[in-house]
Amino acid sequence: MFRDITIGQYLPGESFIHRLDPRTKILSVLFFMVGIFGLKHLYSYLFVLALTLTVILVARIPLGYLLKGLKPIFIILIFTVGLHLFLTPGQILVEIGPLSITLEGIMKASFMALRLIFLVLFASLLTLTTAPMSLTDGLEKLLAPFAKVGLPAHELAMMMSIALRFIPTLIDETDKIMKAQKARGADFESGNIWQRAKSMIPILVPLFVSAFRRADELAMAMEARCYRGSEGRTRMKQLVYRKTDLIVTLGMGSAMVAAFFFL
Amino acid sequence: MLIELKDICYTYKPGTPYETSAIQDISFNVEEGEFIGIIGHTGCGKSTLVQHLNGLLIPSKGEMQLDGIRYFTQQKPNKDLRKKVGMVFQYPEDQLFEETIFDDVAFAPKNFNLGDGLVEEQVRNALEDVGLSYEKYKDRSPFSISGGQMRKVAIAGVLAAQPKILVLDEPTAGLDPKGREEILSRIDLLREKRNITIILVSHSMDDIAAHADRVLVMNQGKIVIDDVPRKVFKEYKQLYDMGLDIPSVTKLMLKLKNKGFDVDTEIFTIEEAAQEILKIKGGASHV
Repeated sequence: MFRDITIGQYLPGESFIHRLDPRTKILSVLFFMVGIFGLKHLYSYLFVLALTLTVILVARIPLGYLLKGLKPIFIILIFTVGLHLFLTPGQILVEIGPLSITLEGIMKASFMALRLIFLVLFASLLTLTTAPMSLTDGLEKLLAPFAKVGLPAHELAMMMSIALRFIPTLIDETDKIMKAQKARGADFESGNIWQRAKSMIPILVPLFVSAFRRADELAMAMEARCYRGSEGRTRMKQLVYRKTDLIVTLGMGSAMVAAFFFL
Repeated sequence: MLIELKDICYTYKPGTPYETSAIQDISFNVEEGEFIGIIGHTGCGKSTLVQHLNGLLIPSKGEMQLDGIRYFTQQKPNKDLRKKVGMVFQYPEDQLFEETIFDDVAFAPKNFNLGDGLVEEQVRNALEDVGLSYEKYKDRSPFSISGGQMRKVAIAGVLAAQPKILVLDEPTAGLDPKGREEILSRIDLLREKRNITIILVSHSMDDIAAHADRVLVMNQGKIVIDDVPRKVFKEYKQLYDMGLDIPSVTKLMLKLKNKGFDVDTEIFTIEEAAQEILKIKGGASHV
């Protein structure tokens, strides 16, 4: 069940989107996030949908694979939709006991659901088309101006790249530990919530132990190769901000400003 | 017949672009009390195969008869099957989680509802069987002992459920030669004492040659050889082609033969090799 998680995964490719500078892609996602919160009508989402589909097509990401990444947010989605559906005051359409569904509730719930879905889809497109290393390089470069006021830009970027790097490792580890405990008769599927929560202990303890061990080993390996933070660090692959990047960034920025105010 | 596997196939992630067939049409039988070695290249499907034996994986096709019950087609794998087939995974020390060694070893017998009085007895037996003193270790934390001891505690944690069949997936990986030999000789002892059937997955030809009665050689998801070690290692050319090795002593004998010495090359243990070398030297055998 853990193997379905696609958030943070990278699908190597050679498409136009893959070749864009990571800064362009990060900024585009930022613009997208701001823009999507300014949308006032349901039909405005057609524009967002068209934009997202275009990016998916250009990047040649299998749609099924991308949609699978929505699975983990399913519960959050249901929760948000449920809350908005029942708790928004307004013109009552249906009444079920103390709960009532209002017209405004339906509108708000669909807005929230669409927002969440597109946010996750667009953000996954960023990680799916950008190698973790260039993603963090881009982030570091973008944060560099703030380093002057004391923001540890390099350290933040490094932490993020390590976190991304270890997602698949930890998933495999969880899978293995679950199997080992199942083989010893552990039961994760039955019982009430309390029992189920308790049955997670045999998974969580070994997982934490191995995560700390891995962190320790990684720190040691980095020190052994003389890692000492950002100071004086150079790069083999320099990021190049091309004309196309500028065009895409400006295009995305203006599209989203337009969406924010007019759609 | 204790175990009978028939046409077991398993496919990872069916219906996705990442679909891979791990094992195809695996069939073999295991008699009670046998010591079976499974060898094969990394990624040949050994681990996938053994995970069917206790129902952790459900085959996409095929069935298994174990101890008279037919699984996958008639009966779904259940706790009963997991109790009968103990499974020691690679690096089993990663599964330790309790505060004391006693609690950790008792995890399986408690899950299988063995009853409180019996649990203590099982834990004591299991710890002694892997060579750890019950009194000395039961109250210690499993995280405060050495790596080799952690491995033993983890194996005891599987033994405590009193399995009829014990499956070990690379139980000696990452141990020094002394640790390896100790674990393997403990397994031999266990088999004598408890009369359990052993299935050992390993990369080490030396270990398999010295301990197994029968060897299954796997290649690309299929069993290609199923025979006694003597016959299997005779096929060293085929093994080399599959990227596998032969026991070091056999390699030595083959080298001697190539140098022109008239030695028997079907030799798999150090003792046999010593005898054979002394024989051709013409000296009296005082080994």
